[in-house]
Amino acid sequence: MYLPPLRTYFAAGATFLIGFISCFCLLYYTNSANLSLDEFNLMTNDKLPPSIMSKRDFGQEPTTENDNGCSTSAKIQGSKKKKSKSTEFDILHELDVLSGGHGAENLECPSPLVPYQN
Amino acid sequence: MIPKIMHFSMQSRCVPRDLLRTLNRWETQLPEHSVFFHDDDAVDRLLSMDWSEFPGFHEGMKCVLYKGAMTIDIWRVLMLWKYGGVYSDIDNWPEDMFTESLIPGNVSAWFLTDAFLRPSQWFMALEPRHPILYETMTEIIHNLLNIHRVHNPKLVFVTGPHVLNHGYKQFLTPLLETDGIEVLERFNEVLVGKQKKTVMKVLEKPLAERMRPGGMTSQQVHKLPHILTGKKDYSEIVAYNATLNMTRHERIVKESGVLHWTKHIYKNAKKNRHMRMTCRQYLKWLEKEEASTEKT
Repeated sequence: MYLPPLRTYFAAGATFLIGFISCFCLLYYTNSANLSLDEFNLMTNDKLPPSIMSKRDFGQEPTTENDNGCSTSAKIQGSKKKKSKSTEFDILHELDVLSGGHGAENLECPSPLVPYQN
Repeated sequence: MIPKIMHFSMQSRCVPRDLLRTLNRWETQLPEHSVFFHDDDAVDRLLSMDWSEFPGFHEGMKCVLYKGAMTIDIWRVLMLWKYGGVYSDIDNWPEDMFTESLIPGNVSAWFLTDAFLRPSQWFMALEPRHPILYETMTEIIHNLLNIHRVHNPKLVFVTGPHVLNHGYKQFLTPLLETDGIEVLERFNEVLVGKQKKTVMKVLEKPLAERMRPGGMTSQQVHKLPHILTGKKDYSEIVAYNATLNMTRHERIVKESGVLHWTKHIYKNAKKNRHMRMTCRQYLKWLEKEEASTEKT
């Protein structure tokens, strides 16, 4: 009985293995891509917090004061609608607190460094 | 519309005088923008928030062993995802042409172009919740969880410009399907991507002259002058104190103590040599460590 050389079995095995791995990778990446896109659509369409949704109409007119008289560095006064104006202020205030600018008014630095305020 | 907010970050609010000069320049050039400076504590505050839209984020962050460039790469994506606005590296100097009217009102994302024709990671302006940022962040988490060597990660590919480029490509998928790969080499024009959002990648004159990417006419190349300079006048000789002169760059490094990320990683990689493991292995190791400390 004729038996093919051993290397033929190895070559066949390797081809099968490569094919299997390629299929697996292809399936894996297709699935993960779909999943992330679904998640993304779900999230951006349904789950946006209202504060971010209304922030999209950030305004143009610059000013250095705000309605609440707070001492944040808000320079933007937004659209003419009162509601979005307060939302914009909320976000700027939130950013001021988050960035630590709120508590750094009297910051002292060792020379030659200089303090930076928002 | 891109909110008129600017974000900068550095380890401390106490900054070298040369960087204060740059920050003041930004305020002069973009007077309508609110400038926010985020120090290390502020960066930590943002990173420790609940990011339920990015599953695996906090798990992946455990594999970030280095503060500095890697953390800031992640932070800037999250910051712009949540609040939108403009991010710039603190050493970028806006030239006279960089004014409020430079970024068009009809784009949802605006980038400059880096030396590999990728969107700039050192300067980007986006709307909050932009698909580019979502795709970028998702890829970052994937990369973090699959780091081969936590003690010496390949920053550019894990959290750096390569990943932003991935997000950019993903965003332009609809256009790539119709117009082909050349889309990625289209500059200074508004492109429409996912969710019908728009993006513009700007190629400045000096880079355009060097690279001459395909599809660019000479007219387009000369359309945009130089608008942003990285490390402007950093080789200039300045006084450090009454007796010592040095370059501006040396003065900044000396005053701030901030090392370039390549040096930082090199230094720490040596220190963390014993941690030659993948992110997954490292997470398991952390779990074991936590369990053993709980027992004792």
